[in-house]
Amino acid sequence: MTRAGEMNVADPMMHNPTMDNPMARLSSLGEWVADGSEVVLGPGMSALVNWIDAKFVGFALKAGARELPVSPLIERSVLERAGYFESFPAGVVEESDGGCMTPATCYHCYAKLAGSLLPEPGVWTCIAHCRRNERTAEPGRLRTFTMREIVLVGPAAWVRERKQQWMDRILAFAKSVQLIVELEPATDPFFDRGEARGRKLLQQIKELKHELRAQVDAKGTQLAVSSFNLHEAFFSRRFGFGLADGRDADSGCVAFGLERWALALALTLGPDGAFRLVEQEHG
Amino acid sequence: MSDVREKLLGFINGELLTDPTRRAGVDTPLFEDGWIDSLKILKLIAYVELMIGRNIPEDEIVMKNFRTVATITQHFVSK
Repeated sequence: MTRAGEMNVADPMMHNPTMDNPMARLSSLGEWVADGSEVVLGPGMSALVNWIDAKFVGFALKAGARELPVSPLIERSVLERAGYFESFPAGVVEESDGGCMTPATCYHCYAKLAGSLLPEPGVWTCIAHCRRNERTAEPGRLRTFTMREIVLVGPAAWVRERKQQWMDRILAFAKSVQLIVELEPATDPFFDRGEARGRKLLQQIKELKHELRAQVDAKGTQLAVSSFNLHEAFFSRRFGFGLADGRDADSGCVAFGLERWALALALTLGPDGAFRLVEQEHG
Repeated sequence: MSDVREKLLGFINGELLTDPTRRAGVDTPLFEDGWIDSLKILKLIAYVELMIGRNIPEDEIVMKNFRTVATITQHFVSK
């Protein structure tokens, strides 16, 4: 039996009065002020983003990751080398000086590894404000967002095993904060067209990508909050890095859309319930 | 069914393996240990389509159906 005002841990959706129109409530609190696909966060949501990020950094450091500082800007040549324009030509926001806003955080890591031979497998973590030409107004699909990534580089079996460990770890974490989540094989939507279709089928058949999706309303609407990706030797060949023993280096990454995690928590627990997570830790 | 398995195994072992000194069996996970590279996977899909005489819809081109020779024949041939 759940008392009035008390969260039902087993099924938070059933006892959450803010679920009637939680987006409107977040907006009225000034915590999620959206203008199309741009959003400004209030102090509560900003603190929640930082709280979530600290959790992921903690997991990463415990897994032996090294922190890699990166810029929100990226050279166009790096994205060309990464094949970004081949897959997603309209997605990059270019600056007047010829540079680009980074569309994903992990490209910086491959660029830094270029030309190197790794004596052992490595794990890095980095965070960046990213920007993409998103064209939908779906809540949570933002043009500017913050992405924390964990990058894995090593032999194929090692990377695949670590990806599985990260999926298990993050699924357990999501459930521990009462998110209602599913972890499913996925494909990148920009692989739907033309030659990229073959890449989509390979991504699908080899289960190279999984997405963690959180249910954010009682109708079952889902928000993808994290992805878990295997790139095989794609980036090591593109950027010319490998393993010191002569084998190809595979890579993989785990991506966290931090505003999406915060939104999923605020919609699931209600803003007050979500902000309480931060207060409890700091109190 | 066993004829189809043998034919499919023959194709995989004869044409698709990254390392020709290895031999796949009916329960060998085809994608998990680099047995078949990406280009050859597309050939495998095309071969299965020829074998069953129909195009395979995209939503059936998933790991659980193509994991091994056994799962391929189970899903696409025994229907």
